[in-house]
Amino acid sequence: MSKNGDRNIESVFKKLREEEEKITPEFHRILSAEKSPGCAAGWNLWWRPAAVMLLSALIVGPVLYVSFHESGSHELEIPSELEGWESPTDFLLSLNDASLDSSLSEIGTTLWTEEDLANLEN
Amino acid sequence: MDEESLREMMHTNHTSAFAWALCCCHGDRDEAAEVLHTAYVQVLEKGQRSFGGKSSFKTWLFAVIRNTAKKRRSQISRRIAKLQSLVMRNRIQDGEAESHYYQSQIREKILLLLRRISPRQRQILQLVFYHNLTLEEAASVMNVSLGSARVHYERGKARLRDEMRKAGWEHV
Repeated sequence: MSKNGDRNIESVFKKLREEEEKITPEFHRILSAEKSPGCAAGWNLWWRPAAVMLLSALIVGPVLYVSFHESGSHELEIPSELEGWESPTDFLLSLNDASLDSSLSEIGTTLWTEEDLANLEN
Repeated sequence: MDEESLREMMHTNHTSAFAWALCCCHGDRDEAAEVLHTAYVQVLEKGQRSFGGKSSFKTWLFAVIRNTAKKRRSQISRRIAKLQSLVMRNRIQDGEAESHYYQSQIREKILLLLRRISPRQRQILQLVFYHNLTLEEAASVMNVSLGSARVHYERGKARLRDEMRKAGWEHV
């Protein structure tokens, strides 16, 4: 049984060999770097996503670079006319409580002196 | 061994090498051709140093082809998994590849029969019955112990006989 079974298996592989010998490509064709359609299909799977990623990097990269540098320069650059500017209320920060009380007008008194009004009329 | 000798020996074993590449590539002719090309290039580049003459050239070449196919398949599988294109892989593997492979009716029937046993059993049986290698040589190509090769060989034969009986192939 086993011997007979082995003979059957041998004949199956013999037939397979005969069939495959007919489809074997030439040695020199295989050795030369001729790309098969299978390889091309495999490559096609990859070049599209790779190309999309590359293009995205080329487009998004410079945009990000420019926007980053522009926003950074806005923060750093101070216009010259503002450099010496002081707020009119800055003195309040350095005024102590006693001075503040004495400089305030009492409630009920006018803020305008007669001199001020005369100047306005002129 | 110089390059000219390597070329000559590859040429001599070319038909067997292609058949073995087909077996390692699940019957895909294009993939087998690609694997064989890569293996030949490797042999020419590294063969002068790598082939020590411990085994026969054919056994060594078959091991190179098997490793190349294995590496290539794992690379392809990883890429496909990343792309989540399982459907496409199935189409390529089961449809387009097989349409090339199953050109002959006889071959188609034999391959369908062989697909019913495990890949390792199929490869061991192919090395022994198709390529007339000894079990020791087959174990060397498969990079498994002789004991392991023998187990695959015996189980593969039993399974194949069983499948042949089911398919009415008892008297081929």
